[in-house]
Amino acid sequence: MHAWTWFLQRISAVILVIVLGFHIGLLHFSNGGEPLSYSDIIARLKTPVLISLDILLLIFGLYHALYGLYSVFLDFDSGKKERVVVLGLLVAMGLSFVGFGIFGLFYVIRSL
Amino acid sequence: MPDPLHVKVFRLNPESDVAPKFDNFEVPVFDNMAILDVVMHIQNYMDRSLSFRFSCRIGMCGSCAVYVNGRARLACRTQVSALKTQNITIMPLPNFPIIRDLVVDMEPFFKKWKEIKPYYLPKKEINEPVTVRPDSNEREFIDDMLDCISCGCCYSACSMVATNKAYLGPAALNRAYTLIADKRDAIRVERLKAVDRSYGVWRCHTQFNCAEVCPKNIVPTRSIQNLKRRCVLRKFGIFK
Amino acid sequence: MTQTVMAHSSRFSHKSQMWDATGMWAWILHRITGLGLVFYILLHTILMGVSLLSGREGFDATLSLLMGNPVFELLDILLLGAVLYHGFNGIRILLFDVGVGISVSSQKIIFRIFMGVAAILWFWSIALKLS
Repeated sequence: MHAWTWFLQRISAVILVIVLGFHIGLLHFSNGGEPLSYSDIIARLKTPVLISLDILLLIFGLYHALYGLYSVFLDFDSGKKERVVVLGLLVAMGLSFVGFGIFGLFYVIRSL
Repeated sequence: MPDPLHVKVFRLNPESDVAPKFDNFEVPVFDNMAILDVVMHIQNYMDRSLSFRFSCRIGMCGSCAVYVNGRARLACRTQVSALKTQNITIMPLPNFPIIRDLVVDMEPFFKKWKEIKPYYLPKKEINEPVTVRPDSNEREFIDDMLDCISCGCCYSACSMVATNKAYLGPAALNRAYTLIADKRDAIRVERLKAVDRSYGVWRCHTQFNCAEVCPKNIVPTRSIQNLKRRCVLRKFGIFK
Repeated sequence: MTQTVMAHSSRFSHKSQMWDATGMWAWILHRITGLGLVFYILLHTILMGVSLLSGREGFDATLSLLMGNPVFELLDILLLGAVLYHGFNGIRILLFDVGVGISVSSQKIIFRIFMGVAAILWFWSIALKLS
């Protein structure tokens, strides 16, 4: 299992470098200092490119973050049971956050 | 007369001491003095009860590894002048159980060493006396890794060894790769499986502490990175 | 020999670390920024999700609060710093994963170069933000 999860960590890292770059540039820096408004967001989410960017960010960002947490946990002594519990918790967190995020994104653009 | 060295030495005698302490010694310097000379001087002339290990005195046996001024080093190969200070602190290697003073229990280190089956087992079908040319890339690649004298410096420098008792450590993983990279070896895949564990290669985060302290200039990080790659490739079915 | 009977788990050991090595610090900061960013991504996902779901007024109010407030501006700059550090050191690690730069000296040189670039990007972004 570890070979796969480690490899996926690297893949997510590459994807994040690119996608985060866009995300930060587009959303945190490109509105000329004005706060972004609801309408701005909806308009952008309607374009397939930008909503895909957000979904990619959500999935790979959360994977990378939660695998990172798991890695820190494994760096310390732990029993088999503790490892299973923590892994379960992290998987649950990952699935629920991704679920919530995707739900949120699609909910707001539902009324096209 | 050059100034004497101000030497602080870690002392612990489990039979009589409750807690470790540091003893201070003023040690006269001579040309080309090594840390081993320092502790021998202390033991000969100042405190007969100081315990430390050494054997060959020439950096071959790996017995005399100690932690001096913040780094694991071989006592016989560390020149006092290289430390560039008169203040020297000598401690036993970190991450090892301490038997007494500067002497550590190497048992956990060798237990992990054995876990990766550190011996070559020839493939049955090999009949040739030479299957890998001495000047070939693959032989030269393994060459450096073979220099390991199992001194324990890398093991004591690694933060992952400090935090995780089960982590195999740089020396064992380097040894594992030396054999896995050897195409004559019969149990390469079995060895790879032994290191493909959460307490094996995956605990290495490329700190490079091990490579910094190795007295033989081995880079265990390189071996471990190669092991990680082989583990992934094996999952993809490329390395069998 | 009675010495060998003594269980080594009862023996004292010290875990002194190596503080004078670049790779050690690179790793520590990578971990610290990583933990900070995990906390941020969880917070950000919840905050943005909830704001969007609370409708136009709710969202606009939240964003005005966040993007106008100087405290949050400062936090944003620190966040960017963390992202740049973690990202660039992450690329350095990716280089090790493909076999590039794996020597005691190379890894230090790569670290310095990448941190130089990251610092330039960071200061440039701060300048952009403040103007």
